[in-house]
Amino acid sequence: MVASEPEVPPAAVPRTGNAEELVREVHFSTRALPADEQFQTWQYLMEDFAEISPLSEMQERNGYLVDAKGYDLGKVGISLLQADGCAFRRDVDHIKRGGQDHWALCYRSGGTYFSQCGARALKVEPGTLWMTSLAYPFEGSADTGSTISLCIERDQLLSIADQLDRLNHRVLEGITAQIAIEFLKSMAQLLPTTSMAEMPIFVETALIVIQGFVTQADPLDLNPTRPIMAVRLEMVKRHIQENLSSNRLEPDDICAAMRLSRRQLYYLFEELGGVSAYVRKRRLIAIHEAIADPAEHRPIHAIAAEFGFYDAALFSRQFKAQFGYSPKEAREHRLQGYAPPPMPPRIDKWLAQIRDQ
Amino acid sequence: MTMQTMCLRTSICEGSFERGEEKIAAVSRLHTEPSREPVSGMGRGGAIPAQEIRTYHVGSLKIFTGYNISVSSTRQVGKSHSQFLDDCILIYQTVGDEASKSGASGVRLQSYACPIADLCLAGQSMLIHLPRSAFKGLEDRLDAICDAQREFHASPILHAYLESLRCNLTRLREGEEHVVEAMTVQIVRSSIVRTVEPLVDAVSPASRNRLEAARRYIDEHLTSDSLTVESVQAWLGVSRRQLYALFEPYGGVARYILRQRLRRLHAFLAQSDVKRSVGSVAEQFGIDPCRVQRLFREEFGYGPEEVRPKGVSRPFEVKSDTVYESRVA
Repeated sequence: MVASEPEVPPAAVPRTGNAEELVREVHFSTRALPADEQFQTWQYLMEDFAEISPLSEMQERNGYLVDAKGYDLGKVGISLLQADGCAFRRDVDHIKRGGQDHWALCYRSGGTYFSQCGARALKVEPGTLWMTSLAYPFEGSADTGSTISLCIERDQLLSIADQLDRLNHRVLEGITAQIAIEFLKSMAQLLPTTSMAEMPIFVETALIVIQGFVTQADPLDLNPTRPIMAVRLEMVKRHIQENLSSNRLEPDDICAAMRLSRRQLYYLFEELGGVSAYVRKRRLIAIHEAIADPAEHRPIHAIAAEFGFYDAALFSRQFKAQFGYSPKEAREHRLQGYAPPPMPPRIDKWLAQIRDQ
Repeated sequence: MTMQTMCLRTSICEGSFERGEEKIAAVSRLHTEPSREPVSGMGRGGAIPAQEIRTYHVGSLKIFTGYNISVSSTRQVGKSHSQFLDDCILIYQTVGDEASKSGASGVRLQSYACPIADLCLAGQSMLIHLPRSAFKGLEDRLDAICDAQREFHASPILHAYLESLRCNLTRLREGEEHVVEAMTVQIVRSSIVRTVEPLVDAVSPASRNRLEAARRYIDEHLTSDSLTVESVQAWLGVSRRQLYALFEPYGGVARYILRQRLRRLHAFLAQSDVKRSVGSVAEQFGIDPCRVQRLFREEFGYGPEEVRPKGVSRPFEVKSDTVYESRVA
C-alpha cells in the first residue's frame, strides 16, 4: 500500500552522522500509481492527519496528483506539497490519534485556500504567509496549488505557546512576513543540496523567524478550547521546562506545584513513559543544547551538575542512552541533538517523528 | 554605461564629530559625495534612479544600502575616538550585474579596529554596522574572522536572508525594527557560530575553552581590585605556568588585564560627561592613577584627555568660570 518505500537505512546508523551526508528527503508521489487509486492512496496516507475528500467539480476527472516532499531537520521539519484541489477536515479525533500539535508556518504559491478554525475563518490568496496550529481542529478546502510549510514541534517553543496560538489561522504581515517568505522559498530551494553539517543554522534561523511573529499576536485568544487533558499536560510541561535546573522536580514537588494528585500526574504522562522519564529527557536535552553551544565554555560536568546530574558516570550513561553518543562527542561535533532516525514507514508518520526528537 | 561611483568612507576618525550618533551621521553624510560623472544611462530603459546610499536605523544596527559603494576605513592614530573600535561591519554584496563584470556575491565581516583597504563593491550592496555587544560570547570567533580579512564561508541561508532584508528594508514599518534587529543579530550570530570553527581551531579545544573562561572571568572582574594574576589562576585551577602559556599571544596575563582595563577606561571617557579627573576614574577601573597617562598613551597613541567629549568643561575650567563670574558680580 505504501507508495514510496525508499531504501531504509540500517537500524543502527552511527548517530553522530556524517557531516557530508545530505539532509534526508522523504518523498511521495501519486504519479506512479494507476489513476483510479491515486486519490484513495492519498486519502489513506492522510487518514491519521485529516480527512480528505474530493471537491465536487473534480469528481469526473480521473486521477489525482500529489507530490509531497519532507525534510526532517530534527527540531523543525519542512514540507513541500503540490496537490490537486481537495476538501479537508481535521477534528479532535485526528489530533488525538496522530498526536501532531505542531505550529506550521505556511506559504502558498498558487491556488486559493480556505480554512476555518472555530470562529476564525482564513482565506488565503497565493503569495501569502499564514500560521496554523495543528493542535486545534480545522476544516476547509484548497484549490490545486503548492504549499511550503515549516513545522515546529510544540514543546520547542512552550514559553511563547500562548502568543503563537493567538496567531493560529492568521495571515502574517509586514517585513517579517516578507523575510519569512523569502526564507521558506530559499529553504525549499537549498535543502536538497544541504549537508547535515549546515543544518543547525537552518534550524536556528527557522526558530528565529517564527519567534519574530510573536509581536503580531492578537490580544485575544479566539481558538476553540482544547481538551482539558491536553491543556493540563501542557501546563505541567511548561512548569517542568521552566524549572529544569531546580532540584524540586520530583513527582511530589510537581503535584504540589500544579495542584494535581499523584494519580492524575501519572495518568497525564502515561503515554510519554512516565513523568520522571519525561523530566530526565528534557534535562538531557537541555544539557545537550548547552554542551553543543559553541559559546558555552564550562566543563561538561559543571553543566550536568546544574541540571542535577551529580554522578558523572551515571550521567554519561544516561546521555548515551538518550542520544546514542557520549557528551564529549556532542561537544566535539557541536551536534544539535539530532541524528536521523530510521526512515518513517509512511509520510504521515513523519511529522510525528519530528516531535520525538 | 557610466555609473556613479560612491565613496563611503567609514573613517571613524573624523575629527569634527565627537559623539556616537553624530559619527554615524557623518558616515551617512559622506555617502552622498558621488564622484560627479555624467549619468548617461538612458540606454537601458529609462533613467537610472538617483543613486544614493540609504541609511536605516534598525534598533542598535545601522544599515546602509546602495549601488557601487566603495569602502575604505583609515584609522589615524592620534585623532581616533575609538568607541567604535570594537564594533564591526558586515558587508554584503550581491552578484554584480552585467554593467560591472567584476562583481561577486559575498559576505564579509570587518572590524573597525583593522583598517579596511579600499574595497569596491560592484552592484547592489548592503552594509550593516553591528555593535560588539551583539556578539557577546562569540568575541573570539568574531576576531578570528575580522583578522582573517577575507570572506568567510557564509551559509547560503545567510545570503538568502540578507538578500531579502535588502529588498524589504524600504518597507520597514514603525514597530518592526526590533524584530528585524533581533532576527539579523541572531542569524549573523548563528552563522558565525556554525561557520568559523576551522579558523579558530589552531589551539586545542580544551585550552581554548579554558582561555575563554579566563577571559570571561577577567572581563567580569575587571573593575575589582581583587583581580590579580593569582586570583585568575586560583579560579581557573591551573598552574601559573599554564596560565602564562594560555595568555602568551596577549603578552601575558597581567598585560592582558591592563589592556582590557585601559580599553574600558577609554570607552568610559569617550561616552560619559563625568567631570572627575582621569586619575580618579582610572583608579575606579583598577589602573594606577600615577601611571595612567603614560600607559594610556602607550596603548592608544594619544592621551586620555583627548578622548573626552568636547564641550564638557573640565573641573579646573569650571573653577575659573566661577572665579570670573564672582569677579563680575
